[in-house]
Amino acid sequence: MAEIELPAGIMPDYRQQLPKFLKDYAGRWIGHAEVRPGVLKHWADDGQTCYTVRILLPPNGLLSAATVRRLAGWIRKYALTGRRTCRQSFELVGVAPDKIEELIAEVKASGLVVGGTGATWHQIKCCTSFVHCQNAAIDAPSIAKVLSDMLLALEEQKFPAPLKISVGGCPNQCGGGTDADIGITGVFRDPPQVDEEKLLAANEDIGLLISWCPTAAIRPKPLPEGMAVEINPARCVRCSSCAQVAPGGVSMGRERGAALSVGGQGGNSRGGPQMGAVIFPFLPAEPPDYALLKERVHSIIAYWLHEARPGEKIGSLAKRLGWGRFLAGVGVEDIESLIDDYYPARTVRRNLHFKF
Amino acid sequence: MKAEWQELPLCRQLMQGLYPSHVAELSQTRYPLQMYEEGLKKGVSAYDYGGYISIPEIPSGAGVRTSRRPDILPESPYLRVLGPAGGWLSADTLERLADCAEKYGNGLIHLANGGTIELYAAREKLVPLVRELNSFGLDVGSTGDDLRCLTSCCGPARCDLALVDAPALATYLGQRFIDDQQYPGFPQKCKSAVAGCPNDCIRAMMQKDHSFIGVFRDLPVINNEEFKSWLAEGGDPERLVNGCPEKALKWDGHELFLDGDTCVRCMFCINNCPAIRPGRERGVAWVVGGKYGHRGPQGPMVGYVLVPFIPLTGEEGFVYLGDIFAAFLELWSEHGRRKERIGDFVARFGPRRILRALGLKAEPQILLWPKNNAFANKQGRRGGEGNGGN
Repeated sequence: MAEIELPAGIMPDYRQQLPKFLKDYAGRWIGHAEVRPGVLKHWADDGQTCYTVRILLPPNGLLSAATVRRLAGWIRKYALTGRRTCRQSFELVGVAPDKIEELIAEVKASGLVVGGTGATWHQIKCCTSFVHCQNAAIDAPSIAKVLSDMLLALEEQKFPAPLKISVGGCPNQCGGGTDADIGITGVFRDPPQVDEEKLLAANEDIGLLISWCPTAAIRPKPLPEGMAVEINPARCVRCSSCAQVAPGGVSMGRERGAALSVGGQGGNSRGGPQMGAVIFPFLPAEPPDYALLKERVHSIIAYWLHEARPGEKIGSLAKRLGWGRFLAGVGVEDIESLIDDYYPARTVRRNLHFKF
Repeated sequence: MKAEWQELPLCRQLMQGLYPSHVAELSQTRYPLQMYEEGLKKGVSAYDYGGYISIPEIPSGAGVRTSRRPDILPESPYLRVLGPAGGWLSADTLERLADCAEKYGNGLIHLANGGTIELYAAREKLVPLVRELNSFGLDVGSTGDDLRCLTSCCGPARCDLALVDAPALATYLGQRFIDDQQYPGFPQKCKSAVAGCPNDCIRAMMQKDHSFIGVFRDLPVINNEEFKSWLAEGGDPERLVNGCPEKALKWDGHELFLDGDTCVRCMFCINNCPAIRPGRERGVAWVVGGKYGHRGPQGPMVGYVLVPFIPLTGEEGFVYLGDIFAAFLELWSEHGRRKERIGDFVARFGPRRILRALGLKAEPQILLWPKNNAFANKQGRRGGEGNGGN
């Protein structure tokens, strides 16, 4: 009997993307430094060097074929290979040191930006939102664009520490948010709506819909035509799980805005991973200017630039000053809304160590 | 279908400004900008729930968004391409992706956050597109309740801090579990990554349900000769000593000392002074349960460290890590509830039971502190450890 050949899947082999030089020097690099904004230098045990030029891409890593070919062209002309970073920027790796000037000039002329290394703002990471997603409460790419415009226009580009901003369009946070120094997350203010007729017609999994609500806010609602559900708005925390489980019958509310968090950190250096703390639970997010959102982000950055010691990120500044002082400094008045209702024990103090 | 710019005031405004615009990119493709304009105008996406679709030859990796404005765009099918580990993309690969996007799709290439590359093409073009991707070593997957694209940091090919070969391990795991990346069969998605060191530049502990993260077990190594040249070049010893979170460094004006009992191997000093290098006894920590998403009982969370150190010297150690991953995926498949992300599963099922079921020892490093109550430990419904739900 002839052997049946099933189509075998392919995990791409990253080695195919690497030039011989980087394969030969793998594991031999012993140090690195930022030599100028957007340019990193790595050096090896024998003194060999490798230069990387980081390019900030349009929000969300949405690239036209023309731009992708331009990146490929720069690799061919100036570097050995490329890599997309996990913050949606792009690195040209193995750039010849005497060609860095020329490359940077060419990148700038094309409208892209060289930067995002060291103690400055890094590429704003965001999700795709209204460009191609149905879940989004707000549009992350346009927010990233508007905030990047603002940051690029700042006179002072040298910050006390790296600043990472992430924008997620909905509570699912595909674009991140909780990991960032400043996180923006699309949120829904009014409760999800149940369209009973559509829900029955869509034949959704009612058991899963009820069991998957984290706060038990969904109860069955028997109708003559079949089983629908009702949502208790007082219990609902607007996590959007139900709209994901039963998109045919449950839709998220129409009143949408942004939650703003600060002080998130992903790496283990110093205090270790820290989830961002929500300091503005609901801000209007009006495209295309996002005036209020922009103002809040600007005032947080301005306060940080003014108060921080060298090397201090926003989260460590808040910790040193005490959250009370930090919140006053960035203009937060509504403290009550910052108490975690969901895990009540988590954010309220249980010692008498106060700062006034 | 190109709209006139006067019909797209919001898109037009987003073309302005100093920073490169995503709308400018979209406008250079056949992407229907009216769909985006509609979303911005109404505050509700013009795309609607579709889902992941299985078509012959492509069990996972293809999806379709339906449309709330079928008059503009009836539907939007797309492919998720598994990205090479470490994000490495050569000029050849980029050019071929650009060719594919133009030949089969709408000309847009999306470097998506999960580590995949999304291409947008009509349903009938998907199979030929996948065949062409295969011809230069790429494939699709990473949709639905499957193992999502294995990602990693750039690794030792470019980084001096990589403690383990992260892209090599990610590629090994990706190859070994390619079926799980391409056939949705889990209770929920499982995002997975390998980070080369505790700096975790790819945020694996937060974004990924399952990760291996490079760690070292011995102490940072201080080269006092190099430290002197660092000082001569303007290095600030005070800032270094004060920045250490555990105050484990001491500077007596001549030499730098490290109190090995106090150091937590956080990488701070290594990141900030080239004269301090990571130790040589290297391996990975096993971390499960990170997620950004607010869905599920715990919302966003940092993953739990279940094993602090598994020695890893070369590729021969990859098999054992793969075995742990396989056993864990099986345990979660059997006991995870539908739509339960791994972080919520670990909290409900119990880290202790997971370690027991996998035959792993509980190391003291995984405890923040011992429990604050005297309750009996949970057992499975059928009495056995690690069996049955609770």
